Amino acid sequence: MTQLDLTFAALSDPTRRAILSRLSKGEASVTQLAEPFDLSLPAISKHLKVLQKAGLITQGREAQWRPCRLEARPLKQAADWIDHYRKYWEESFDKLDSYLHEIQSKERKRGRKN
Amino acid sequence: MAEKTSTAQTTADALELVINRTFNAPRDLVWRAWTDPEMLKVWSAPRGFTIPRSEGELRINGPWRATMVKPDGEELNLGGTYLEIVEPERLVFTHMWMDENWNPTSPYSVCTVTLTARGNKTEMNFRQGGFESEESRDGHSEGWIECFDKLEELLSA
Repeated sequence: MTQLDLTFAALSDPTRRAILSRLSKGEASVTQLAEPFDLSLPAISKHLKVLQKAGLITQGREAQWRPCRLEARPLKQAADWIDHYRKYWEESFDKLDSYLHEIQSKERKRGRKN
Repeated sequence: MAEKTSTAQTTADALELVINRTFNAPRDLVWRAWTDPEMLKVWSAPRGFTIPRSEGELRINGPWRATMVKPDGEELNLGGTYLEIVEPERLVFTHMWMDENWNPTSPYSVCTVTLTARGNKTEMNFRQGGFESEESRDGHSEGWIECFDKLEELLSA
């Protein structure tokens, strides 16, 4: 699996997205992260493991409460990937636009001849 | 030059790309441009790219494939499967980059093309996303948007 695969797979779950959203506001402990959800701590830990494996979060070792922290770089990579597609399609659609014109003017010419 | 209205955005909740455009052409023609492999060869790649190969079976679960040649001569294979075909208004297909043996090399995404007739013009709504399942898109979108706002801050910090 590439980093992108890992990122998109990790992002494919609403609970994990909500966890990232919470972490974007600052560090949080596992208990704090579990609060808004109707999920057990082990269930939350499972989600955290997926996020950790994808490199989207890190968990501190130093403090007693082992705070989780958002790592922005892989998310940026995913956003860049989408942006790359935006350019790809915008340019293609410019070509489609001219192509549609070309076809129609050819058809009109043919129509006049008949 | 044609009247061109275009907007593009990345919707944060689903990491989805959305592009809206209005083409000065009837809907049937735009539909053909999206579904006829020969017509796709002409336009469906960025500037400077050529498409020597384009084929597809326009049926549900039918495959499509194309080979693109980049301006520097490098060949790129891509392809996918048709998921929904509602002529002439809605086309849904998967989209993947592939290696020389047609094995996927990228996460697959889902493209949805919706065409709406406006007189002799056609409004197109193009979406690319589907890096996740439909049901997982429920709720949390607000939080996700917030997350991206914060991400931007983080990245620019």
